[in-house]
Amino acid sequence: MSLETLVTELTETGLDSLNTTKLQELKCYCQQQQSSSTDGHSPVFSAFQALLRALSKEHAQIRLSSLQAINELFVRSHEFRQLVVGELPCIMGLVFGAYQRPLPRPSEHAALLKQLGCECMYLWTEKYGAAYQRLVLGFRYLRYTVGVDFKAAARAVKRNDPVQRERMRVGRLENRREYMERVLLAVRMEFMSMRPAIEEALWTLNGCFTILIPDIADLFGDPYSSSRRAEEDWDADDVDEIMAVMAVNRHAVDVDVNPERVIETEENVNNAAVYDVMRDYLRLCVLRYEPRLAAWMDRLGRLDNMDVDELLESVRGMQRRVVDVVSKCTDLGVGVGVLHKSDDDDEGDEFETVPADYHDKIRATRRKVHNGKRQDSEEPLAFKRHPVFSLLGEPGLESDPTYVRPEVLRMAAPTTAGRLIETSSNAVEDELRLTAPVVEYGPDLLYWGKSAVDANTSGLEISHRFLGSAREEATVSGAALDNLRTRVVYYSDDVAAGRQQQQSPEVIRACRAPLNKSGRLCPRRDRIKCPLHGPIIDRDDNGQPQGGFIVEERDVDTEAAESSTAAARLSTVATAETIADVEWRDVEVLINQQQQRQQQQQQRSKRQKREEPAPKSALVDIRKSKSTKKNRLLETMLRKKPR
Amino acid sequence: MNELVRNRAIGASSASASHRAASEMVLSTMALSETKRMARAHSAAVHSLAIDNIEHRYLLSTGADISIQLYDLNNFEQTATCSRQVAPTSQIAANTASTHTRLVSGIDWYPLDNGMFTTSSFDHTLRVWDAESMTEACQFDLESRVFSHCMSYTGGHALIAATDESAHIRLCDLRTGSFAQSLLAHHSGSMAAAWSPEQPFVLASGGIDGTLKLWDIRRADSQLCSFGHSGDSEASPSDSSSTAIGGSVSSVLFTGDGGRVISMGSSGKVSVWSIASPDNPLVECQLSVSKGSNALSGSTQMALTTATTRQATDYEMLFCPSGSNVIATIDIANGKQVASLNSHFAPVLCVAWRPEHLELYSSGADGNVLIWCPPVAEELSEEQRQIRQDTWSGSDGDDVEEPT
Repeated sequence: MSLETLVTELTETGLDSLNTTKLQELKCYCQQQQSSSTDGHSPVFSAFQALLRALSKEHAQIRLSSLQAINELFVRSHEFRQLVVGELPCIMGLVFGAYQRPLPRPSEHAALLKQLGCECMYLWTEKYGAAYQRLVLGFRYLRYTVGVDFKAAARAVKRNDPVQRERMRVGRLENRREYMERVLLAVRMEFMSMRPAIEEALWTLNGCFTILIPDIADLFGDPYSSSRRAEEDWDADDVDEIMAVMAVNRHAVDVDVNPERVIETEENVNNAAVYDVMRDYLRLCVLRYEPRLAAWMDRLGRLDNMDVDELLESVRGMQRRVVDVVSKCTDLGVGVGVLHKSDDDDEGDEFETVPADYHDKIRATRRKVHNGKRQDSEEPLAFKRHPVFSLLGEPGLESDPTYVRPEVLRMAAPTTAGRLIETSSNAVEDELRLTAPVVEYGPDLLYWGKSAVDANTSGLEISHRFLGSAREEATVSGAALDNLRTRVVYYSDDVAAGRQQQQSPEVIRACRAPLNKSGRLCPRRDRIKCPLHGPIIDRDDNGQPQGGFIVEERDVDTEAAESSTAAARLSTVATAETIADVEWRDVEVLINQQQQRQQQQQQRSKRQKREEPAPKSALVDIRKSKSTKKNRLLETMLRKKPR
Repeated sequence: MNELVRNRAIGASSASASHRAASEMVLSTMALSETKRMARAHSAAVHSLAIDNIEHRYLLSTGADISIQLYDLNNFEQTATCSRQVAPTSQIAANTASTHTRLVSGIDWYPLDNGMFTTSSFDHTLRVWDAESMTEACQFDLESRVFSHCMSYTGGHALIAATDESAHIRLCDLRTGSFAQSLLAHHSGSMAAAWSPEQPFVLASGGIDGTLKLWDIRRADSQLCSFGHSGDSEASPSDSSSTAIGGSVSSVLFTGDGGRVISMGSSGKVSVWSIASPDNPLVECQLSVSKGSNALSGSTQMALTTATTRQATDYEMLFCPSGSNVIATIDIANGKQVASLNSHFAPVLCVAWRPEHLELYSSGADGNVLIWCPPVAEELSEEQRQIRQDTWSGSDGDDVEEPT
């Protein structure tokens, strides 16, 4: 193959990147010792001349490819470099466009050509400027006199430079490591400093529990356990364990317990001091320690590749204990009220009470993403509740028929009213209740059965400046009270329709046809038809239509019908349990069918290939007039004129 | 080269001929220096360069950005990217209070002492500067744009001949600080003038009207002759100019012996005239000038290699900015263009020859000052040699490891 055709084929593909095999051939040609051409020039010189001719063709894509080829040879051959440097003004004019000689079409490739030219000039000057002064001069000329902006090119070159990229990556890793170390140190210090306070709170609260709750050993009249207790100190944990085991296995243990004494939830004069202490420490635990611990866990969970296991374990243990104690307090009925009360009097509420499981969830997902090996050890913190007081928190408890929900008396005030009515056993009422409609609670029910409603609920005496004070019994009048007792139901079509729409809102799908330039998918949302891409159909991730064309669908249908009939006939194959039961004649039919289908498919694909021959070159035809509105109109007018 | 040496050895060629041939051989290979560079100090076109006449060591440059840069050519600094670089040792910045306000068209050392230099500018002034403190010493107001100025190297007087848009060539006397004389020279102004290196009172001037005249400032009628005219100055100047000079005269230069005048016209015509026979040029050379280039409409400076001996056989090579990016190297003995130096990316405006160093300095509209020298005088550094090596990958078919 001659050099000229090689260069032509290399540069006129119209593709964004060069054909590697062709480029390789060109390099081989340049490395030859003697030129095959008769004019006695060196092969590099001939190649340079050929590439320069290609570069001067009036087509931006050819110029782009030529410049890429020139760059390839430039970085390799000194002779080629000298030739390029010698012809630098000419090459610069062809790449950047000269006065009254703008770059050829297509314009988007011309822009690419300019960009590549910038990058090449920058790279060449940086790498070879020290030994080829003219490169520097050309660069200066472009930069200072022509005013080419090399910032983008510099960035691109730096980005593509593997050394720079590696340096940046290492820098990022280093930064991250430093940050982690800092975080670890900070968490450790904080934890160490707060640990005694937390320990003290836990200790105190546990002490309060032992005061309030009868010792478990006293519940059992078991001499063994009491003797054991005498021998060695029992942990609260041990007792918890025993209770847990007993609760889960539901041993038939007869415990003679005075029901009033099991959980002494009532706060009375005797234990008021204990309750106060508990409230104080519980507030601390809930408002201060729990969020702190959760935050530490969160921060520690973000550190990977660090030695945090020990610290993590101790923090987690602490958190577990705090949660345990808090739940115990809740069981005792201390918790909720304390929290609500604390809202107004605790001014030092600097920590946001974040739900603990929020961090756990985040951490769990993060761990899953980061390293799968820790995933097993990282159970979301589902603490095993130690059922000292009750089996309250046990998940399966509600379904247990033997379980009766205990009443928390302190909380009962608003809810007991309904319950009392329910439980009051009156035969007539029960009868009525059977037939009574269930009505949602509303303002009418609030005033139901009230004869007089106080109009002034503020408790203040209203006295007007001029009208004097109001009457003593400021009650709502009878008519107004009737109004209050009336249930108002609004029936509206709009409301009903709106509700329906809310239930199943109509999803307007995006068109999702592939866009030419950006390569993204069409984001237009239309009900039936996109004005640009036609009817809206199912498309896959690349925007290709799914579920073939209608003709093919019919084919598939008939094939499916055929195969189903065949399957029906080939009952031995369908129903055979072992291979020995299969009738081979039937299998033969099946195989034949399969082969036929394959052949059909092959033929179809061949037909398709023949219909669309691969384009020889991706060059844009710049002679073809652009299909603009004006051109199309002109075309139509010119076509119609002769008639 | 070997043939040259052999011919000289066997006596086939005379000493002067051998000298000529050797000089031509070396000078025709002049190329851009790779080992020495000038730092970029100007942000716009550099219109004028001047190398001092005493040590041939200090270079002044000035141009459209109004700043004046002083370089010590023996003082190189090592840089990371190139081996040796000449940076300005001192400068007069453009925003200094007492400096030119318009483009500086010409700069020249005081020929007898490096403590003073002169500049001419489009702001109608000609200023004299103290080179030591880089401050202005005095100034002459010429009331029109000054294209160039020159001083006599002989030291016979202290007159500066300034060429401007007016019809007169003014002679400014440094000793009195006032104008000594006005020569009614060219109707539409003059672009270039040159003092004879031999006779202190002989001046050659070239006008925009395309006439080249020789003056003796001591004489009452002053004008000695007009080149390219057959003794008769009645002929319309525009006709003759197109043939004799080639457009307006953009540059005038005396040869080293003072016997010939070289002129360059705006059409790119270089002519060598003998003082003895001013009617017809001794040698003519037409440079190829691209159509529409108007770089030569202003004044330029040519440079001549200096002769070591005052003999007619001395080899003198002319470097002239041809109006394009190319510096033409012309043998003035026969008018042949020996080589063309092409590295500027904008029209070349000025060249200056550094005697005894075989170095040429050129400046152009791209704001660069370039150093040219014969490649044999250069020794590439190790790093440069490494960069200049071929880096073909090991095998033909595999160049994956090759960084691009």
